[in-house]
Amino acid sequence: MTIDFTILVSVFKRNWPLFEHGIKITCIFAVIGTVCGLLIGIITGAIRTMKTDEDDSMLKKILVTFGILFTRFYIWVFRGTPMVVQATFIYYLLRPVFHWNTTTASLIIISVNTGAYMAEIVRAGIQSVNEGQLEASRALGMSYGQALFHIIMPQAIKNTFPSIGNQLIVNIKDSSMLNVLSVTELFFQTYSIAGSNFRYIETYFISAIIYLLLTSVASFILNRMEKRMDIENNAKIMEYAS
Amino acid sequence: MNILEVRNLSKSFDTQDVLKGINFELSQNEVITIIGSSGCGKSTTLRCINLLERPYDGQILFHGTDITDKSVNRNEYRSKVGMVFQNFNLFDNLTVLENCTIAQRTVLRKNRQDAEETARLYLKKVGMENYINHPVTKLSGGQKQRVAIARTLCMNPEIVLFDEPTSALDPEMVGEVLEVIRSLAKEGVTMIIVTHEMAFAKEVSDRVIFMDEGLIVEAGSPEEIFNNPKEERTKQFLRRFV
Ligand SMILES: Nc1ncnc2c1ncn2[C@@H]1O[C@H](COP(=O)(O)OP(=O)(O)OP(=O)(O)O)[C@@H](O)[C@H]1O
Ligand SMILES: [Mg+2]
Repeated sequence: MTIDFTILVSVFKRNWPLFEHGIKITCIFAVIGTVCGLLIGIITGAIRTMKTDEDDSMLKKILVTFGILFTRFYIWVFRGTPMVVQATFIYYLLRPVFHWNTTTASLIIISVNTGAYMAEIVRAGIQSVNEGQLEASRALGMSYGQALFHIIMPQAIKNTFPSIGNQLIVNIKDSSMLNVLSVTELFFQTYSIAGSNFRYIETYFISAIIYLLLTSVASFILNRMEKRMDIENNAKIMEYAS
Repeated sequence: MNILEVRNLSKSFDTQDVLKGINFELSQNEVITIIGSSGCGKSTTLRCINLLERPYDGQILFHGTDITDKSVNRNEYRSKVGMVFQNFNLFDNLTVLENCTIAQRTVLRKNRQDAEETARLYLKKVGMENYINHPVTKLSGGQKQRVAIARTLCMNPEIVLFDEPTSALDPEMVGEVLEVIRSLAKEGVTMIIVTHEMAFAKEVSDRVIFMDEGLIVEAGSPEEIFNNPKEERTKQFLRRFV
């Protein structure tokens, strides 16, 4: 029931290269998954907020309606099922079509999974920007797309930055689910190490500490980025106030 | 020839008939003010003219072309009819200068240099040339509204619509905004102004329209409306302001 400190150190020293590899893969998956997920989320979140009006052409109405239904379905499915299940199912389902390896498949799945969460975050962000700014853009002759790109989306992303950043933390932890596709991320490595030395407690303790360090560093960086955004704003204000 | 002709304009929200057949025309260089009690449909009239609301019935002829027709390019039309809102609706993510250049660049496809040159010109005109790189969120109400007016003028619109441009301002800032509008009137900018500032309406307009319950009750020169109103309802309304 106790953690033997000397064993802990020796497990760590002996297996460091394996842990190090796991850390690297986990970070890569978390970062790529979050960035690609954000891009997917921006696109699907924007589609989700589109509106048609009576004067639009039939084709546009159909496309927009279809787009909205599709994104709703996508968000519903990917937020409503565990990523382990998504990963296994999609990998095997599409293997005959894409002939993909597990790494590519995993990267795509973590991105698409994150995208579903990002879509909802981005949608909330879009709704947080007051309607008047959209009306003003339209009154100047800008299209909905132009208004979204230049005016609404930058504010939507800024307003929801903490939630967006949180997805990185989630991905550092949840990328562990990709072990089902034998992605050699940190959890997979931990599992392999413990499986060969039978020191479950010490090995998983080290793993937990590493995860904690990774998420703490990520939090720290995200906080700094958030502060920087505010400081940049304030600096602008100070500069012109003087 | 009239630049704008509104014929039998009707609009309802749900079951409420807000506009019940509005008819008037606006000629080049003319300044029309619309007065009337709260809820009579003044904003809705302007919003229909700008196509921010879809008219339920009637025609809006711009240089003789009915712009409620589906084949009309609405964004192009809107870029020629500026709108200044009660709540300014400036773009919070952009600086004063960028607020004035974004639509020029995206809608009129001007290059940065031309757009900035135009923006500086109009910002100077409204007395905001010293705030060019200032973020708009920190401006006072009067300053915001002056930037909003400059932003609209930058598009070189043929008509400018003002929807209660001073109603959201602290009393001490009303003057600076009215001063700007007054100077535009002198230069011959074609305008429709919705306002509760009766003295200003009297001074600046060529024609005054009094609306009540979705209809134009009386229209005429400022003299006619303010000094010799014919309709009982007009008299009643004006009595509140003396
Ligand atoms: N989007 C909307 N949905 C439902 N009803 C609306 C909408 N916009 C306006 N109305 C209603 O239409 C009527 C006319 O509104 P409008 O804003 O045109 O009045 P107004 O003359 O501009 O009044 P105010 O002086 O208060 O600005 C009001 O009764 C209002 O409640
Ligand atoms: Mg109004």
